[in-house]
Amino acid sequence: MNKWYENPGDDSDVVLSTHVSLSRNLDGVPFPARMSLSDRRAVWDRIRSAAQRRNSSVSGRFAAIGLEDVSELEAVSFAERGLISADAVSRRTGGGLLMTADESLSAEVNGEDHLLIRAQAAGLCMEKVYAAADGLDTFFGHTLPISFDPQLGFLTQNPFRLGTGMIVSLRLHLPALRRSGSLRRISRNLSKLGLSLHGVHGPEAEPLGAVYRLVNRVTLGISEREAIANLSSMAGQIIDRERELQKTFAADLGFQDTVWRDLGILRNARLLSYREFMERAGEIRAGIVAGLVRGIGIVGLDSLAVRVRPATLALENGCPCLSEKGKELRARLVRGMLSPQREDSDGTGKKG
Amino acid sequence: MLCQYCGKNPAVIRVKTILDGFPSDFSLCAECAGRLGYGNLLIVMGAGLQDVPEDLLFGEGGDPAPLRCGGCGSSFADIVRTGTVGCAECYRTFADQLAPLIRRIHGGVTHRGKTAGESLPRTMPRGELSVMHRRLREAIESENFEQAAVLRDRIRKLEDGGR
Repeated sequence: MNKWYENPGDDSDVVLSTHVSLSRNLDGVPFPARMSLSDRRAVWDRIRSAAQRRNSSVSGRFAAIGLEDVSELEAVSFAERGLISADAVSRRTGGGLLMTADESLSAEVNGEDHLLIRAQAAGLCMEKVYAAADGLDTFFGHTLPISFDPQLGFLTQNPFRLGTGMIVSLRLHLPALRRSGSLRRISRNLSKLGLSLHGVHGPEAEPLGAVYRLVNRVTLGISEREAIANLSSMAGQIIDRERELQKTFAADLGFQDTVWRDLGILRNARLLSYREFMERAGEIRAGIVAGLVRGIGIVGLDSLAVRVRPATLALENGCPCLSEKGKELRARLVRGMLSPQREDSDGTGKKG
Repeated sequence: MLCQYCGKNPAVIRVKTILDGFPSDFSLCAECAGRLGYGNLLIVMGAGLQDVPEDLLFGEGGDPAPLRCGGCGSSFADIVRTGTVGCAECYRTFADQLAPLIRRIHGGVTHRGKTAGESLPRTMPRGELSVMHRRLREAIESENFEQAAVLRDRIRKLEDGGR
């Protein structure tokens, strides 16, 4: 079965993926920061049993993984694939993960909250992704005592998540906006509207590969549908602006030179760090969208970007830990995928 | 330590991330943490990284027997020190202390949107009902009759005014 990131999505020239998460907690148990080990194990048991109960609407859909049974490398790989938070990697005892085979719908147990439901899909599809998360939430709402207050909404460990407990985010590839130097200003303006736009890999001024995360910050006093509509309208404007700018850059010889050089390097490198891959793949992606590079599909490149993440790559190749060998494996995998002989025509996914 | 995002203001919170295959953390100032969506209580309290002495919160000498939450045993000082609320009951125990902070974070508003649990009063707008009708159609189309039956019953209940 394909993973969600191996499928094509709408507006994928700019939108890599859509993510929705819902924070939920059980009544009568302290939140994760104050839980005892026996609380943690009991909550994991309750949530896992609910999801695995026979003849329920979700039975058979979820694999249940106790995080204390996995190595740190496996846990990091889960985090790289957006299935658990970075925090959960170092606090695995009594933690758990429920996930579908395509990894599009999952629930992290005893991370920042007792239950963090996550849905993700390629491209722009907020309604569909929300519906998936909402369906699982409704199921848990019927089977478990979820902490809720009519005034404050869903009660969460972090008061910033009160209300809907819903965080919606889009991963956007914005190479042209980055080149134009206007992202800091856009980010400041979005901040006034309760949204945030920043790099996905950490607080770097220049995000790796021009991949940004657009996310809602306000969860109380705004319904799920309103929050999605807000984010959607802002995303629409950013996408339009990026596409306009891409047209002007496509003819620029400097841009073309960068794209072809980067493709040459990825097709020939023998040692490749993840950071170098991300930077160069970002330029190549822009080249594919601009119609310069043919024979490489955006879906293939995006799923490659998931597979070459350090821990995920090491696991896929049976390495017990991260080592310099990773650079060699990454270079080999990337050469294989980007070689000129390989005709991959899954298109740009651009709508319309 | 300075904020790793703006490089200007003192950092108040640490945020975990995965960098090059390892868990690592970066430090942010209150302004950047809020702007980037990494807010927690520490940034609205103006505290962070270092522990907040209890006498700062309750005047000199501190409170010899602070109010503790019946659910998890946290005092309000514990909540401030860690930046995290202890349990659902804390929201009731420390409602007066938390209310101004929640107002600062969210603007003093009331929850709108989905509600949890069957026993709670349901004020589901028509929009939500039409979503459920659509999901019912999808369930029938995909021959997921078990889910369809559940949805049908819930829609009936809602259309009857939540009884």
